[in-house]
Amino acid sequence: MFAGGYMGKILRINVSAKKYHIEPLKEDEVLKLLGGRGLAAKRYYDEIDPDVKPFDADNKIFFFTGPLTGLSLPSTTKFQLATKSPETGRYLCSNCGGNFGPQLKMAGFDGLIVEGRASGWTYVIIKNDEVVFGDAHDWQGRTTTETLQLLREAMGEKKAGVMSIGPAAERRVRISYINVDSRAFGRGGPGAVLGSKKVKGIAVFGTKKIPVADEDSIDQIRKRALENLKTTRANHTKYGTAQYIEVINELGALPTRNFQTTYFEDGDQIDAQMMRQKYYVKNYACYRCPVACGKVLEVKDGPYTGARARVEFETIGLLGPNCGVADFGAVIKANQLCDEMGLDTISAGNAVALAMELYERGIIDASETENVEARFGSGDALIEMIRLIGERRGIGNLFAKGMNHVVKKHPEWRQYILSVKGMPFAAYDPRAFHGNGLTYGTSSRGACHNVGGWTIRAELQSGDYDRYALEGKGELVKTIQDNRAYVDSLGICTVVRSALGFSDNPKGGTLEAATGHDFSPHLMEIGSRIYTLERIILNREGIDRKDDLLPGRITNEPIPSGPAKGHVLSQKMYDIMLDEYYDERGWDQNGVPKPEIIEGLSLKAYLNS
Amino acid sequence: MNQTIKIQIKYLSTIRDQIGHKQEEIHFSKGATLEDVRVWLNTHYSLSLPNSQITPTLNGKGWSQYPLKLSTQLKEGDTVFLLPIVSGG
Ligand code: SF4
Repeated sequence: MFAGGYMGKILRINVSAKKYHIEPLKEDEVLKLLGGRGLAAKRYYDEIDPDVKPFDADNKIFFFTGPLTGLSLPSTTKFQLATKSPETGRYLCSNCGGNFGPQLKMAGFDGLIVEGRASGWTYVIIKNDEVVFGDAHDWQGRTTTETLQLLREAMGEKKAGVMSIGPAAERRVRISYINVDSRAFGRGGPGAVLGSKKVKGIAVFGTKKIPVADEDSIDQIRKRALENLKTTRANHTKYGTAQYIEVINELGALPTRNFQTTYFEDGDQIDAQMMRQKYYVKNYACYRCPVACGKVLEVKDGPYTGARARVEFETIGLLGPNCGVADFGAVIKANQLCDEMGLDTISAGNAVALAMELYERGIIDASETENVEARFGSGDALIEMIRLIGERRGIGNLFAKGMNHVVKKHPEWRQYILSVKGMPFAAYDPRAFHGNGLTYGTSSRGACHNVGGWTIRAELQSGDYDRYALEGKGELVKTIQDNRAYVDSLGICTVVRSALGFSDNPKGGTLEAATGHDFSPHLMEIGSRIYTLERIILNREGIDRKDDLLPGRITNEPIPSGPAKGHVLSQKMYDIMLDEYYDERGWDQNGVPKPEIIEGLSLKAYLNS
Repeated sequence: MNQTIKIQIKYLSTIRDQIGHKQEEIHFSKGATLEDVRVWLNTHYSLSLPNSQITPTLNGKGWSQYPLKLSTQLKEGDTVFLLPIVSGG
């Protein structure tokens, strides 16, 4: 095995039988797939049949840390999950910070698998090798944050890593998230999977030392990285991701009123400067993170006084401009409500924006919204519509089932729905950054800017193409995706990756110092292997080219106003990028990996198993 | 006759803090290039470009994306942004 970085064990918990057992980590899998996202995908491939439905007892959640999770380097906070998504009905991968991943490692485990379905509401406590199942009957209806506190108390450890679901997930709302130490496994509805298993929360605490191959080198790397982050990430520390609101708006890419346009005229009411001036309370950091990009905000006057939330770029973009809302207080209140009920703010913002457009067009009316006047710009309507979704009332019950279900029930609404594979868009409009369109189309989980690849910087800086070019975007998106796939398998935050040497051309010896194994020259190949494995899984679940396409608003409607006015990403234009992308990946024109690429990436054995 | 052109410079998000205001209109002689903007920013704000923390754009595209790079000529009504684009949101 490795000299460091891994604990060598996986904990498997069956909540039906209230039993657990410990399995060894397989060295050959680690060599090929590194950790985190790679190992979670492999388990999913092995254990989740294409016919399994998200809420079946046979669906499982695979949580995996990486070799750097929990080490004494900056931001070694991340761990990863894979499960079948209730929102898309397909493979889901997701990435999260907080204490849980590091504590799982210190308890002695690289991974945690949750399977089965409990007979009544349950919580799980993991303390080193010991697992206890508790009765969570009385915790029903508790918010995610209250449940985190109950878990810490039940365990008796303030520093425990804790994860919880809220009332929305108890009701199987398909856009429910898992709150992890106030960070989130946000997208794709993993909270509802935990809810379907009747698991209200999990706590973990460990006292074991995570082995490291070369302590002195790790010490040196830590010092260098901390120095680097002080200057390179100063903006993140001051403003967090909210710093991009003004930028993306001024570039004409900020979704506004359900992506009807891409420039929000009241952008200065909801940007980072406004946040600092009127709402800022303090920073929030994940485990060992010196950047502390989280921003705790509070409304100090007006109708939403007292509302408090940790607000991010995507949340502001989709609950604010995309719902036409310029009142930052209302955005904070809506974010708080999403957190309490346990809803993904990105999918919730998209759902409310859709409801508002349908309402304004007279397609739905007040009888379906429980008399909420669902008009763009109304903070009260935003908040009440979120409540309807979380409580599955009125039209909220339809949106609670996710966009795939909405389209099935109302195919005539398709032109107003912004999603890929059933996952709604993040807060960038692809008509203004065409590479971002390819990102949404080919992400392993739906319209996501993280797994899919964040192209904005390259599309503004590359000398080879600009944001509206098509040629070169296939290669760009593949490279960013592969990079992200291996970073998601390391156990660190993407914000610190450069400071630790994890670029497209990895160097710096961090992984070697941690594990004693010469991983760095192979990391991009490992990323590519993970991405292709995910594609094999998706193909098996029925996904191919037809599912990689973008919605009609993007391909048919030129942006009507703002700095990117007139731009569109037509089907023909998109096909040029998609063809190049498949080519770069060694996938055929239907989006299926060719046998030679499967062989070349040493994935053949997985196909045959 | 010495003709001039007007261009807008916008300092976005965190760059605004550094500069102290959000935007201004600057007059350059006809025929001025991005290099003149670079020198002007350096003279007035001691801001040195290129800079790994700042992405400069002209009419929504990166300076480096214009074939003539810093020799690109400006025209009346052009807009320059200075953006704090480092990495993902
Ligand atoms: S940069 Fe932000 S998201 Fe990343 S680890 Fe630090 S606090 Fe968490």
